[in-house]
Amino acid sequence: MTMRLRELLARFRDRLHRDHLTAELDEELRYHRALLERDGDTDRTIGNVTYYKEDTRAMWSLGLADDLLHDLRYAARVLRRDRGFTAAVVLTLALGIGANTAVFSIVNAVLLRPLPYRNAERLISVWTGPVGTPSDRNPASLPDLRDWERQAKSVTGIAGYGFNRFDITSSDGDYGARAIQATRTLYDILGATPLLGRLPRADEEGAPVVTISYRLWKEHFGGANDVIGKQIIMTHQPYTIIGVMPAGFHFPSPDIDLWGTLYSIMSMPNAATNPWLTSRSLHGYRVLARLAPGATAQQAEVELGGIQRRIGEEFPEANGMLIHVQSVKDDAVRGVARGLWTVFGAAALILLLACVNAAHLLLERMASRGRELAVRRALGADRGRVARQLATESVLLGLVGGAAGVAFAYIAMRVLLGLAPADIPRLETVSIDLSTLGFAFGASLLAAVLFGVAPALVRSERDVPATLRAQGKGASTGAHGNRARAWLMMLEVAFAVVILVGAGLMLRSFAELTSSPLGIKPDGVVVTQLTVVGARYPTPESKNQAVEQVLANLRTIPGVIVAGASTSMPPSRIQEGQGFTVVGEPQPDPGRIPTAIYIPTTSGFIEALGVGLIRGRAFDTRDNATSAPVVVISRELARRHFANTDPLGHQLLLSNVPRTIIGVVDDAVYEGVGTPIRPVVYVPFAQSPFAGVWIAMRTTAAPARLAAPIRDAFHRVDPELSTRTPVALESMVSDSVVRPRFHAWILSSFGALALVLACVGVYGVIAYAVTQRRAEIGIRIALGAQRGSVVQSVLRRGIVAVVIGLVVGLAAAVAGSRIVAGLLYGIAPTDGPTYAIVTVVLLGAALAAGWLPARRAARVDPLIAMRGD
Amino acid sequence: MASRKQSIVPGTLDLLILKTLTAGPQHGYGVASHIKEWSREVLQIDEGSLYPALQRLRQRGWVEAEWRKTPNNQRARYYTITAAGRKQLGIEEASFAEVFDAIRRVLRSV
Repeated sequence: MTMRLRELLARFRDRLHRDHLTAELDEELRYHRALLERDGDTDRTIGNVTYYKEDTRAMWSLGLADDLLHDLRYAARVLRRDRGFTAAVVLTLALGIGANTAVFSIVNAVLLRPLPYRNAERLISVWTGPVGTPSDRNPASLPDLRDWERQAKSVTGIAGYGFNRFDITSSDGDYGARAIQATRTLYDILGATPLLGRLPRADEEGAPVVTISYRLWKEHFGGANDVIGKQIIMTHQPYTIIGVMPAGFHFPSPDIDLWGTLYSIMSMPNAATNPWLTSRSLHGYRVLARLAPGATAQQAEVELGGIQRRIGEEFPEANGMLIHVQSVKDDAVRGVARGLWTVFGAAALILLLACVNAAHLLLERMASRGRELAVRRALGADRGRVARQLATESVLLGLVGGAAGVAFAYIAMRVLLGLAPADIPRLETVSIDLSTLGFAFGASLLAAVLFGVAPALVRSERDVPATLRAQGKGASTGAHGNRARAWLMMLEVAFAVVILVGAGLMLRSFAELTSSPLGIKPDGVVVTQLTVVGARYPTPESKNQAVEQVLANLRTIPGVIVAGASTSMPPSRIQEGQGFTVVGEPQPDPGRIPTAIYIPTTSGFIEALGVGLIRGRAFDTRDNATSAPVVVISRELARRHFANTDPLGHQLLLSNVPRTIIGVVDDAVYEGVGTPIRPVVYVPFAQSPFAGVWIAMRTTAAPARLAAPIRDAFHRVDPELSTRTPVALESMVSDSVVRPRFHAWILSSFGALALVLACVGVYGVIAYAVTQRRAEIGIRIALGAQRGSVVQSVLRRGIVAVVIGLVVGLAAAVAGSRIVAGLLYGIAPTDGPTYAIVTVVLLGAALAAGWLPARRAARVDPLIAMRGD
Repeated sequence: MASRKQSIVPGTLDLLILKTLTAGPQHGYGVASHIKEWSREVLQIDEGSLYPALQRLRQRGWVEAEWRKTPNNQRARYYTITAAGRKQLGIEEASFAEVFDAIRRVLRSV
């Protein structure tokens, strides 16, 4: 071993002094021959001096490495000489590799990198679901959770958390922030490491402590280290900041800036009876658990299910509930993963398409290089050496393309991040990092192999003398080369069709989604939020009164036509769901109680949103805290429960209060555009007041011009009320479909790219055929062939391959479309119009791409063509 | 690379060169002449085998090369066996003897 190393070092040293050593060897050989002549040893042949000098020189080289260097230099020279070709290949590859690298950087950050928790794969989330609708995934109640915590053996820790929104008072202006409020051991289970300080401990469940996000720390505390121990006023209550989490830490979603305790609930005056702490029917806590060593998620699901069954036997309100366990990682990227993988798949297809295109270009060039290579072979370069030279050129092209691709990816990534929905977790950790560069490098090499292989295969079939004899009239690569070209073109078309179908499906789905009925008229509606909490509003009555006063002020603003408030807001904000029963119908089994979105609503709200009134009336001044309990139901609820009767006058039992149905309104979207419609019950706000409301105003004024009058309207009621910037409901609706818009946008740009690449391929094939058949075409024209029929005959050959590619691509798209089925709204993955449009677009584009060069065939001058070159 | 003439048993060229050099430093032609002479002209080594072999031995650290004046006052490259080269010579001599004995036993066996 040491000997080999020494030899290698010696070789390396010799390599550096090779010129000197060669001179020395020459001198040595001269001396040797001089002595031979002196001794009259002339019967011996001197031998091929060059040959054994080469043998010796080989001793001073580093073998493969030296050859490689030589190949690289040669390849670089060849590629520099053929600028147009090189630019075309590099651009094609840069697009393919760049698109992939950009998408990979996002996929890697969001899906592949491990979550920033200790042993994240052992974390599970626990959900409940009523037996009646077992696919539901609901949170748990606190008393149930406490029982699980005491009894479960398959988990080392189990804890819950709820969401809250706080108004934060600070000297440089108030702001809102989302928080999670955790039971005892949540942060121990999570095992996350703070940037500064710590997270709340198990013994601090009722303590006013909070750990803040990196964003909050930077934006509102100047990123100062002495923030630990400082006070923060959250919704009029002082808390102590005990830690700062690092950038990119999200639990459970990117919009959370505060990680706190149950203090805000436990410090309420009614804590002993607060349903958030005592009710088994209020499922307000999401549950996180860490599996015990050796335990599996299935075991935990079975054990917790058993515990829940025993709880249900004791407490009827907890009866009929199933337990579902999911891995936290799956939970975190649920809904995001499929979309991203689809985009990634499309990007991979683009890369394949780019490779096929590059192979195509390489093949074209191989035709003009046939003679060069044949000469090299004839001069003694063995087949392997020539193949290696070609491989080196491919790899060099791949790497240059990859480098250009990374530059392109950098720009593409910015664009993608600008378009990507902000609710994708960990999006801000996306960067061009080492693993991304590694991916780009791997993709470049893979591409080089893919596009380098085809021409090499064609070439190796050829024999040298034949090529040399052919005197290189456009040096044909023969029938074999033509067949390879047709194959490549077919592949290009097929790939493009698959990508185009994907793009078409996304676009059609997006169009369906945005034209789906919202049940509201968002134009002209301005939305803001109001929170009435703290010592000034101790009772439900005082909260109701403040909300009504603010609304009364708002209604006097010029331009405001009608204003109202409720606890929910289309298209995707709901406060709570509640079980209900129709009075007079038999009591359903536990776990089979129907639920509805429960919305305490003031007068004017339904009118402001433009939700259509179908029967009866909406709320007005008659519905106050002391009037008869009433309810307005949605069309969907009426359809499910009052199919054959007029619902007006019937009663619903909601939270043990029988409420008389006074009206039926249209179905409005509360859980996101395109989601299945659920029943909704509206109850008078005065009869069920709540601290936080959404306010909707139908106006003739722009949201920005309303900011000042709205602040004034709030502050005339209470100068301490915090205000939020009013937004147009239309922008809320459009923001809520940002994810499908992202998919549609990105896949359409990929589709356009694919179409261009495929057309370049078709153009290339036809153009080449025209060049190759010039003499033949010239003869035909000379013999009187119509120019139109010449064009046709040229086109026909190419179109056959296009049509085969189209059919193959359509078949592949049908087979693969199931993958995107989950992303589609309102259309089937085999949506006929999409496939039809793709067929027409592709055929049209291919014909146009083929026609351009084919037209040249018609302009061939027979005299020049037949004279040849 | 040993030789295209097969004039010597493959693999023994290194052995012959190293052995020759134990008599003292020698240039390439001297080595070839010595082997030719002592083998009674049976073993003839051409430059095509000799100089690559010498370079190889040098790279392995078994011989050292140095330009010196010949007795006739000409410049020639002299090769000297090193301590590592002597050790290698011992190994090669032993294995050659072993192989040679083995071949002889086989040739006498029938």
